[in-house]
Amino acid sequence: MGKYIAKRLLLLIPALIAVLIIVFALMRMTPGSAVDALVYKLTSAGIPADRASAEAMLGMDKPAVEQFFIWFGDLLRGDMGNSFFQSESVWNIIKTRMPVTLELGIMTLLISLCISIPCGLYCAARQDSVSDYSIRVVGVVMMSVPVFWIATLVLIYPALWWQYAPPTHYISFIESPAENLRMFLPPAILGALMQAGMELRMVRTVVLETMRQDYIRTAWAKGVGERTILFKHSLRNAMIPVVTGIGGALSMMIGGSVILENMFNIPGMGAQVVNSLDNRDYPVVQGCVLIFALFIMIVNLVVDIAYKWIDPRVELK
Amino acid sequence: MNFLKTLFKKKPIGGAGLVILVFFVILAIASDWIAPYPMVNGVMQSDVINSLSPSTPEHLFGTDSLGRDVLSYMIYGARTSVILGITCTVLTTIVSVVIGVSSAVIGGKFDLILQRFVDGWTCIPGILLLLIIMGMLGNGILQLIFAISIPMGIAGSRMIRSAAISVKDSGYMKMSSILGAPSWWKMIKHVVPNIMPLILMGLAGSLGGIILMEASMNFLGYGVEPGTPSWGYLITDQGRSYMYQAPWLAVYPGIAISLMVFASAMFGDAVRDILDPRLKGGVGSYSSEKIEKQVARMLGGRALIK
Amino acid sequence: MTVINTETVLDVRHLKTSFYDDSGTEVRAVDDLSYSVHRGECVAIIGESGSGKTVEALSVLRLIPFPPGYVKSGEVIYRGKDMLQMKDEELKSLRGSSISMIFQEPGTALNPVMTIGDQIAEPLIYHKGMSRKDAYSRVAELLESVEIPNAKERIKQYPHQFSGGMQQRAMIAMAMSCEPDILIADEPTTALDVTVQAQVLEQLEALRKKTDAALIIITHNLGIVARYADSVKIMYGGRIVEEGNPIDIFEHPHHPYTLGLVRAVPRLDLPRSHGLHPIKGEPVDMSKLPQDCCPFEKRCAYATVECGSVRPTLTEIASGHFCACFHEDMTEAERAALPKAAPKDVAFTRPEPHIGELSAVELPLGEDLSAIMHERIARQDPIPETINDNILKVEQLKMWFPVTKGLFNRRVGWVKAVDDVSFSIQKGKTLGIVGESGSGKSTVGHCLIGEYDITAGNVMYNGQSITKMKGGKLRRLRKEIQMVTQDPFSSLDPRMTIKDAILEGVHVHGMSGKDGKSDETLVREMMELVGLNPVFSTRFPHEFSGGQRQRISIARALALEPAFIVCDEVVSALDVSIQAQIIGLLMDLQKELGLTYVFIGHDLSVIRHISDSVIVMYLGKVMEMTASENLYKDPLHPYTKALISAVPIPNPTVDRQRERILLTGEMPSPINTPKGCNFCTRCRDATDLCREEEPVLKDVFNGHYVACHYVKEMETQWVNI
Repeated sequence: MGKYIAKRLLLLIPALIAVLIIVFALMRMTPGSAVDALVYKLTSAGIPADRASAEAMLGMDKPAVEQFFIWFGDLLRGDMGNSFFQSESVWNIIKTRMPVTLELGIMTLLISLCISIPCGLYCAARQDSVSDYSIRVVGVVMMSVPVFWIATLVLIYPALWWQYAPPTHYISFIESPAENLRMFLPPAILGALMQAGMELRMVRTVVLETMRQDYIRTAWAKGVGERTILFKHSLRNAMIPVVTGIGGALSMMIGGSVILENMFNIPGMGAQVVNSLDNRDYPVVQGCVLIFALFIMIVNLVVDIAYKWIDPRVELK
Repeated sequence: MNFLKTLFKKKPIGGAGLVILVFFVILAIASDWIAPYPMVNGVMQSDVINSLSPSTPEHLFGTDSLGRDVLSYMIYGARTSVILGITCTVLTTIVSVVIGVSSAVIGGKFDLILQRFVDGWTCIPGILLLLIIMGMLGNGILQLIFAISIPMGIAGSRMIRSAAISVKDSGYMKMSSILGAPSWWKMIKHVVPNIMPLILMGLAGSLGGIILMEASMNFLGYGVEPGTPSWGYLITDQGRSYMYQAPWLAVYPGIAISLMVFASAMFGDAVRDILDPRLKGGVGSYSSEKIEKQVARMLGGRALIK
Repeated sequence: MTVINTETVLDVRHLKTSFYDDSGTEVRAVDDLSYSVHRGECVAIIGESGSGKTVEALSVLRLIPFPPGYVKSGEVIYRGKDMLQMKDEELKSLRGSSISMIFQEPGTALNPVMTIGDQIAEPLIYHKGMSRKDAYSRVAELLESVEIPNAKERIKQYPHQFSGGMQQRAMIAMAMSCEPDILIADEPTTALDVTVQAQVLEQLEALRKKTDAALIIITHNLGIVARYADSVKIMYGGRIVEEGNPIDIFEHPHHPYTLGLVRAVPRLDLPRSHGLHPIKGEPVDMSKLPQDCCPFEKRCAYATVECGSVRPTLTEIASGHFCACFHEDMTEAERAALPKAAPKDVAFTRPEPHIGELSAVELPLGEDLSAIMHERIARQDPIPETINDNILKVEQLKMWFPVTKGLFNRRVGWVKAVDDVSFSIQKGKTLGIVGESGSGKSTVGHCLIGEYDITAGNVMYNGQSITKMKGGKLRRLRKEIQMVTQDPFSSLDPRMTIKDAILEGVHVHGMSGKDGKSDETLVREMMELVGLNPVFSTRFPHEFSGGQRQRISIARALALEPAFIVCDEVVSALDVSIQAQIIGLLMDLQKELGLTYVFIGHDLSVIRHISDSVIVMYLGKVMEMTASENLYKDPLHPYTKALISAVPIPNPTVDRQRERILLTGEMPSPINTPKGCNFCTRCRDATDLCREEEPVLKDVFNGHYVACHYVKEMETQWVNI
């Protein structure tokens, strides 16, 4: 097992390098804007600056490859640069915002799993019944409704009807769990609904897929009951693709959190990234994207490990 | 034609999805004729006196803060959505197929390096990539098409690649090489025709996601130019700004987006069910009680034991 | 034949099972089947694919999922109660405890994420109410009883850590765990190698005898039936067409279909000149079968109008021998032509002189010995001397695949798939390569067509070496050397018409229009050549049956006018009656077109039938190489002997008289081949010498090559006389 994890970790390296190159290249493709932004910032602060001096300050006068290695070297030292507009280092900004995003993400994931796995199993067990159809249609509706729209409605109508509005000031969970949940639950539920719609369909499909396998017939031939077959023989096999699916769903979930954090004034990385992008605060954007990518990679690693644990056949290929 | 017949006969909900999609396409094509207040010189007419009016006989869906007729705006919004939806879906699929098939067929180092790049690419959340690319390119419909198709195409290439690899490992591909066929022959004669169902499924299946993505980008303000009518932009620009005075501004476009995505999803599902024989007919049950129920339903009491 | 207890344990009456497709069309997979099973009896149900035999077995336990299948009517009486009327709960208590089942593919029938122990313990816990701990110790005993080594550790392993043979043995242990009254085995050994098959069947038989369980064995393998069955039912088109004891069925078959089957199987014990008689046509398409007719009518030589309009019923033609045919009396002439028993000179009946002691290098040539040798001279068919027109010559071919490990793909060893193989083939002849899976036989085939970069050695085709050929040169070679592969379902592109498939090679090589023949003419000629109607050239492969697809594959290969064809397991996936058709076709084509074949397979009787000379491979090495007639008459290598003895002969009289050599264990992994002789781990005659030193393949007599330490001495000496 330890060896397996070590190998997986080593295999992350090429993907990590690819991420670094992609992020760097994307940012470098917008040099004009970054330079302009810095010039604007400096001049508005009363410091005379022109494009050339700004480029020099950003290190953009050097060749691309050299810039990449300088940036990479800085990263290794934990230096992600400084924000253009907030007088803070990028790392400090991310540090305060990461736990918020993590909390929202974990809550969303848990809620969506709590909805999708039981519903998916139920649908598979009652295949083609009226309840199966209804749950599936609701699932598609949940996937189809844009999360930003539902969030807008949630912000509008409760306020119109009951004068209710979600809190706008972030309070950490340790300070006041109730207040914190009051802020986080609405966006988490909204994000989870969309996620759950997708997951329950997947759970249903894979459970049904395993139910048609030969070993299920063997279990019937042994005289095992239907419930045991579903939970003992089928579910674990079905979890294999579901776990893989969760890895993929994560990227969607982050997409959702970018929107939801913005709308519910949650000071997470998603809100930060949109904000910084609006302000052309590229170092912060770059830092956030990198952290998000790292986060997804780590989750994928965890998924791989879980995969190995669920499916004894997995060997490293 | 045969396909349409099967679709409407076997998958009525999927057929309904297609009908809704066709309805939106008609709206998009004929918006100048259908819209009660058509665009003049590419600009929506505004009835400033009646701004933020609720639903009236003149303005069925009311008006926005600039006095533009919401119904007309939404009909033009359908045009934006349809154009983006169709072009992005097609381009995404083309990008996926080109990357996936070449990676699988060429193989070797090319495949290895390309796949590490794809791995890295898929680690970056799609919406961030889109935001950055749009931030770079600026707003506009062409930019949005580019920003959606390329990243989603790269992400989708993995599935095409694995399908192409399974074709590559098939008996008939081996026989083709034994017959002495060169790789371009195998690619055109065997790989592409055999992954065609998957490509079609991908086309139908990704439409909904793309419309949703496009609406989200417009909502975040990184979409089409502000003058171009778009549902997502209507929600963010008008709906959120005037959410207490004129909540309908947010309601109608959301329904339109949901309906279109829902229709695409149902259509996509139906296409998948028809093209993927693996999922045909559902899974039979071994439990006798269920069998009795099913038999009674499907065979109509014909040929029962009891 | 065992004495049969007259107590009936299972009575199946008028069982009907149908399948329904999307449009509700009914296919009667099992149509009015009745039979009974006595305590301790072995009932064999024989049928080709699509005959409904598996559906029948599943119907008994009601394991037919709906949709699409449904047990429509009938009774399955077990201990006085009809299982088809039982409630789920009651049925559950019978499944796995009183009646249990063994499935065809152990690889998919075992749950991949549950340990073997958990899976075998399940019936014990559910039916016997055992505690987990007790169940586990019982599981260990069960695994030991099916000879799984280190049973205690193996319990905690998962199915993928077991070989195919061990998986099937675990399956048997699971089925026998509650000591059932009836065991249903659906093609239990089809997926296994012949030596493992023999082991598994013997274990099954032994366990069954111990508990006096009845066995219903469903198979297409006539040999197995001849060896074990007490009672045989022949199924065709969802119905039983003939039933009786094995002697009745194999030596006095009355139904034209049974007769056809018996005559279509190649037999090891008969001379090659004893030809195969394929049944014409294709197996019946159940979805188009009308109710009121004989299902065999379309393929039957004796069919009359009556056969097409009235359904024949099973009638007793002799005591305990039933046949459903209006014209069973007409088959008499054919029946008379059946060989009643094999010629007496089979190898097993004579003493075995050539297992000598190594110390006795100089064997005294005593009286008896020379007598044996004279007998051998008379028996051996010499291989013709003409060596000059060898079309293909293989010299010390080695194909090793690296085994890599770790992150940096460090090479830690080699899979010696083919290790030092030499042979040559004369033009117009057939060389058979036979071996179990993992013997490297297919790898040899792929090396012959230049598909691999071989590790060492040389392959010469018509005097030119093809080992280093690349690109265009290699592609041009493919015009001369073609291959037909095993799986008729994957070897044709599902999205290409038959015409395009046949023409693919011609188009690839830009040969279309050669000799002034249009593509259409060529396709027509090719299809006629392989016995297909050219009208169907625009159809797609899924519309053809397995045998027809194999014909298409052959046509595709022939379209390039090759001189040499490698046939890799071409008939393995086909039914017996179709297999005989394809073998006949290949042999006819050889005669007409002067083709040279390398015929690769695992079925010794098929290989021997079609080949002029045969190579027996084991773990990448040649064990024995000789004229094919000698192989059965005079096998010298212990492995060849075991292999021959493991193949059951579809004639109960002959088979039950034969000496059985049961090999223990399974073929070692080709990564760690044993030191010394590759076969030493399973050879019952192995000595220290075999475990230390590798025997050399030597010509022991007139082109009869053997790689065994204990065959060499005497033979060499004898040749010197």
